Amino acid sequence: MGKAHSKGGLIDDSSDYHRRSFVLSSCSSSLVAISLLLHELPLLTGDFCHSPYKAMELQDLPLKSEAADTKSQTEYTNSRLHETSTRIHPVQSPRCGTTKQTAAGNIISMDHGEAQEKEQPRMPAFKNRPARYMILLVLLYDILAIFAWVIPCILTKRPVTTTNGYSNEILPNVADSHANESLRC
Amino acid sequence: MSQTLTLTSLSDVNFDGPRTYRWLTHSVVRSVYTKNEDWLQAAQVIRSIAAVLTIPLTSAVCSRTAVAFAQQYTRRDLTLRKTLVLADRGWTDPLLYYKMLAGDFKKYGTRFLVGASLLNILGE
Repeated sequence: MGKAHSKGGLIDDSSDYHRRSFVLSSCSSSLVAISLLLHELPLLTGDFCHSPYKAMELQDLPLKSEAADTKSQTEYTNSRLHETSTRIHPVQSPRCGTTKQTAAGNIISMDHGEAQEKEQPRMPAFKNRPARYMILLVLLYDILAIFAWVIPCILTKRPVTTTNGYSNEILPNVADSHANESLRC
Repeated sequence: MSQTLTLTSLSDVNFDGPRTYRWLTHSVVRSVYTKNEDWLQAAQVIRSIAAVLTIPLTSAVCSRTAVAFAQQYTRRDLTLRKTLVLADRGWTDPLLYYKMLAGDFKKYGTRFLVGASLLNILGE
């Protein structure tokens, strides 16, 4: 590789190694960009398959906005309060078969509570909206990173040297003229 | 495309032509070489910009997607401690890495935290 370049190529060993290291260092940011594109972007757009909202849409359970249309807000709030009072946080996972007194004063059995929890998904306090500006930023970053990776890849794969398959009589002249210019300087 | 990348765009140039045209191919090759160097410099500048943007953007995206992760229906093993680690951007905390490597991975770690940490380490 080095001998072929020193025979009259336009780039020497140091610049060739520089390009290869440049390709490798650009590779990491491109990998990050591709990972962001493949893994994080579906989450950003709200297209995650196990979303509680998506589960509720599948089960035709009313969302907050739909509930506001169908019932009065008071009824909906009361029902939510009742749901949250009977729900058990996963941190405080109780033993099966025991009873517990809720804040509302209702004594419920844990089996019933767990069964209810299995039936109904936990509803988050707010819906995670898709972040459009973040998606634009990620796409812009992807374009920059992949561009900065592809260009040195092309220039490393097919550099302007005598190994390109062109006539070897031309490029040594160019190299000689470069050498002459550098001597003049 | 006026800006050429590599000599493949000069496939129609007859490099083995008569000696009287050598000066022409000489100047053409030199111009291609100069343009390729311009492309390389542009790529270097853009790569520097992308490298500067990597960590802030990755951290911002991960913190945004952590909310979606925490709201996932099947995440019943997400304890309060793990949620706080995600909320505090635990993937930027070296002490947390040490704690997880020391054996407290089940206490602090989640699959999302591992992915975000790998992304940040790769970005650095």
